[in-house]
Amino acid sequence: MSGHSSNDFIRKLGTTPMRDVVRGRLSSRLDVRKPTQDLPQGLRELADATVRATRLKRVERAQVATELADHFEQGLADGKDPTELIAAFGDGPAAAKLIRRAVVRQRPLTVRALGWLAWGTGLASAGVVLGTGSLVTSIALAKPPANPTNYVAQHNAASLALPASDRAWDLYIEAFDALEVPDRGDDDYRMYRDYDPGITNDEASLAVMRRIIQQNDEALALITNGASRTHFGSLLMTAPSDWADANSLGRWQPARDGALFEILLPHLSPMRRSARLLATRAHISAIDGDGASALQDIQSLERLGLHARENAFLIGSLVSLAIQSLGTQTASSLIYHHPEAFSASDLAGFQALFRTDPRAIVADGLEQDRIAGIDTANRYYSANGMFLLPEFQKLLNDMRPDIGSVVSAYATAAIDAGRDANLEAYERWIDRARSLALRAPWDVPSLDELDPEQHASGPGWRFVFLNTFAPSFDRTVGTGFRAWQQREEVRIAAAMELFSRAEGRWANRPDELAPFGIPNWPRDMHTGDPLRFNTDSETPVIYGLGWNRTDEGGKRSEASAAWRPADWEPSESVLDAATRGPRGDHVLWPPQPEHSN
Amino acid sequence: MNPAKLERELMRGAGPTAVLNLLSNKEMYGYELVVALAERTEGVLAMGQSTLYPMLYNLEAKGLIRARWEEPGDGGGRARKYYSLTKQGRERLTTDTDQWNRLVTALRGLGIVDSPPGHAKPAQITETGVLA
Repeated sequence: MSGHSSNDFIRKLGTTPMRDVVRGRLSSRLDVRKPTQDLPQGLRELADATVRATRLKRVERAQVATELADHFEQGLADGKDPTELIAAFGDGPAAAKLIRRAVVRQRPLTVRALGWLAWGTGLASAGVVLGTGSLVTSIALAKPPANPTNYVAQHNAASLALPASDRAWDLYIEAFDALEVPDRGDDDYRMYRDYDPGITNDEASLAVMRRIIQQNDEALALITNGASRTHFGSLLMTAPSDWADANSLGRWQPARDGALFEILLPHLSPMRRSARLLATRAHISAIDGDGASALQDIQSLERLGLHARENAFLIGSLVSLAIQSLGTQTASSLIYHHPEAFSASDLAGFQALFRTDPRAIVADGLEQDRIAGIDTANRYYSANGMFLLPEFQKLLNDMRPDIGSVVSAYATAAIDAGRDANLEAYERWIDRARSLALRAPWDVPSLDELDPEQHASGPGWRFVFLNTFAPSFDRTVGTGFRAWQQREEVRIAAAMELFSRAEGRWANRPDELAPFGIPNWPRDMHTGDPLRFNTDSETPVIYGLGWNRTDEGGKRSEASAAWRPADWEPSESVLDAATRGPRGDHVLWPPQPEHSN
Repeated sequence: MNPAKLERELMRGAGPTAVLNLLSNKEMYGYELVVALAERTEGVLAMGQSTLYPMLYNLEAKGLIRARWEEPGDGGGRARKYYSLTKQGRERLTTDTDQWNRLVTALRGLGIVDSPPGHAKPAQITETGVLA
């Protein structure tokens, strides 16, 4: 309970045991009774009983008593009868319970943590006295958290065991250091940062794109070379010497003692930047009529995306999907807007490239995060949760700076729940998410099932790992679904172009595209029904029903129309951004219209 | 839903907003709030201390209001606890007021709540919400 006047501290002192000592008594019961002692008997008994039932600390009880006494005195001064005031008071025990709950919530961390400690110590002492020893053993003999497995060392050993000629890592690192980033104040910077496959090829934009590509010629050569390697072979940061350029090191910190949680993944951001450069170069190649080079860059982009998933975190999978999403969006757009650049062989190449199912990427990423969760729990969380409160708090603060001062409440709840219960809940969610990620999207009517807030039993923050590591599982699974449908978009775009070349018109039915690389007509990810054709206009529209599962004739949703691949950030969901519009369909073809930058 | 339950639910939603509203003008102590709630809402939102004080402690715990103790003057008497609105509470009051206004507008559109003079036209309720 917080008073904020300058004399509040003195008030508190006045109700502490120190005051009792000065007065020569060891109990402060009279401090609590004093505020009510001048009330009429019935009111005094009601106030005392209510205050007693709060089971609050002495200081807190004294304050509640003072406030209630003041209330009754005011009522009496207003001419009210004690019986009337008692009737108006209502349910005393219920009020006491609610007051206690609110006041306890306001206690600072130190008070609450000490409370737990005192509680645990008290029980342990009782255990000694009673000779049971069980709880004493758990507290006195429990060792600080330790993880017997060094996953970082395992990961790096596997990478280093690869033949150097198979590893892309060294080439990528060299490329990342060679990337030429325009100054933030430079007009080029926005296009470098926000490359968009739907951008029109107006002269000004084209000039900027060419300049950026030219400046990054060396880096792109290294990236293309790296992308041709069979394995990523990444090294998780354990020492500064892992990085070639000492100047790069200031931005990143080495991991301590192989803890997965402390590892930063500084390569993911330049990987995305590299992906944008490859997409930009593919765009320029298509404008210049060189479809083969454009296809090659999209292939490199796809390989870069596959490499990004090869690390021990789900975030790698998300970046992988983002990179590949940029590839599919760029390919669809270029095939539609610059068809003359591509031969039939190039178009078939696009169809072959995007035949694979990306949903396994999500499932793998979730499995990687399971390991990260276990490693982190074992390092920060002893079995009885008593040892690492300060470190635990720091961890929570690092993970969720937004929760600020209330972190103490979460830490306390998590300690109360215990490590094993936390890990069990976390792993249960991983299993659930993996199961959904591998299902057909239309068999998953709602991803709300993956919202921990809705399903964790008991207070959500007891399961701290679930709530800090897992809040985006629903988005992750949705992103995998979206990536899966985007690959259909490219295959359809290529088939439509091949058909039009053969027949001199656009295809109007699914079966017309069967001989052109679409033997099995794709399904709508939202409903499982075949994708629909709207042939009302000369250019048909191929679409799914979108998030609202309502047929709106192939009208693109506003959210979808506004979405650009460059908008994507790991914290957002491609699925959300592209399809969660309140209205509109999910249009697979034609791609987004071109627009000026 | 029985009438008593409805009353509790309504009070649970309206009570905190009413308290925040009263505190938006000036700081008040518990008894003052009880009287003001009873008088200014014609008894509709009158609440006993067993409801009001837990609510005040809860609002304080949420950081929506703050409390300060005022010691008695030289003439004696009892210390008194005053409550006032925090910045967060003021923001919450704005949000809550807006929501209540929208609810009233919606109910008005359905003819459940009387329209104020000069606003006889009922609101239209569409697929996407209420159009005033």
